Amino acid sequence: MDRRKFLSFAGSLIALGILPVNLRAEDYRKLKPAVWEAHNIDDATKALYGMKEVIQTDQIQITVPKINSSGAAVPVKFETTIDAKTIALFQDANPESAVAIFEVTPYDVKKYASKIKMAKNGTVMVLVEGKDGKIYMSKVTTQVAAGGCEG
Amino acid sequence: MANKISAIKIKIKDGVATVRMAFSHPMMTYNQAKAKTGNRNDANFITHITAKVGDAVVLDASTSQFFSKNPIFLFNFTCETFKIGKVLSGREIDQGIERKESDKGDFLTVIATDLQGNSYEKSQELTY
Repeated sequence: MDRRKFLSFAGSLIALGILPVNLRAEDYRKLKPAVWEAHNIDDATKALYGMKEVIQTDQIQITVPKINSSGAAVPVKFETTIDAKTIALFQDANPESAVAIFEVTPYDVKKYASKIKMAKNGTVMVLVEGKDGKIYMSKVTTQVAAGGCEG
Repeated sequence: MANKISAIKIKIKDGVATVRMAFSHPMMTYNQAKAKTGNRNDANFITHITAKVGDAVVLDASTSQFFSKNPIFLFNFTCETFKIGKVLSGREIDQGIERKESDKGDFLTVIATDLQGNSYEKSQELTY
């Protein structure tokens, strides 16, 4: 009976240990906390990818309206054809730079859209870490009539 | 208003599924929290979004405070390897035909976690 109890207890411990790993592939908030506290794009890039050279490319398409009436919800669309490992979305209008880091899955078409906050005029930048180890970058500047960060 | 994943819509064309997700969430930044309650640590925003079909992860995103209030997300994934269900037409429903077990598709499950530790989950069937 003791052994049975011990085994079930050990089993539940193992199950508990494995579960969070299955739930999420890579949590970049825990893995790279410095990225989310970086105050400009350069620092965030260095925190995420290290001191690698960043190559500007037209293989990343970003679509942002040139002028936004409100910074509370700026529509951002981006896609890439690069064989990517991770994709990061940064901007320089807010106190911190990082908006999102996507880990590319085997099923991913690498085409995303969302709405972000921007406190003032600024640059939206998408960085792609290719499977060849190089870092690619593309950026778009946009104007914001009323800031959205202070609510 | 309770925070939740309010809607998931899936459109499938040529083996690619386009998923639109809508969240009900204040997405309060640190600055907004400080202006509103005086405490910077009252901030609350979605920090991680995972989408799965069965055991296969199709989206994995770590997110920050700078998504809009009640954010929307759009992403695409190839769904050729997954089972896609068939929905009965209006005429078939009128005739009293019941949906076969073999016509049911795989489910897309979206799990979102926020800064205060709450997690939200919603599933949607893959259908044409």
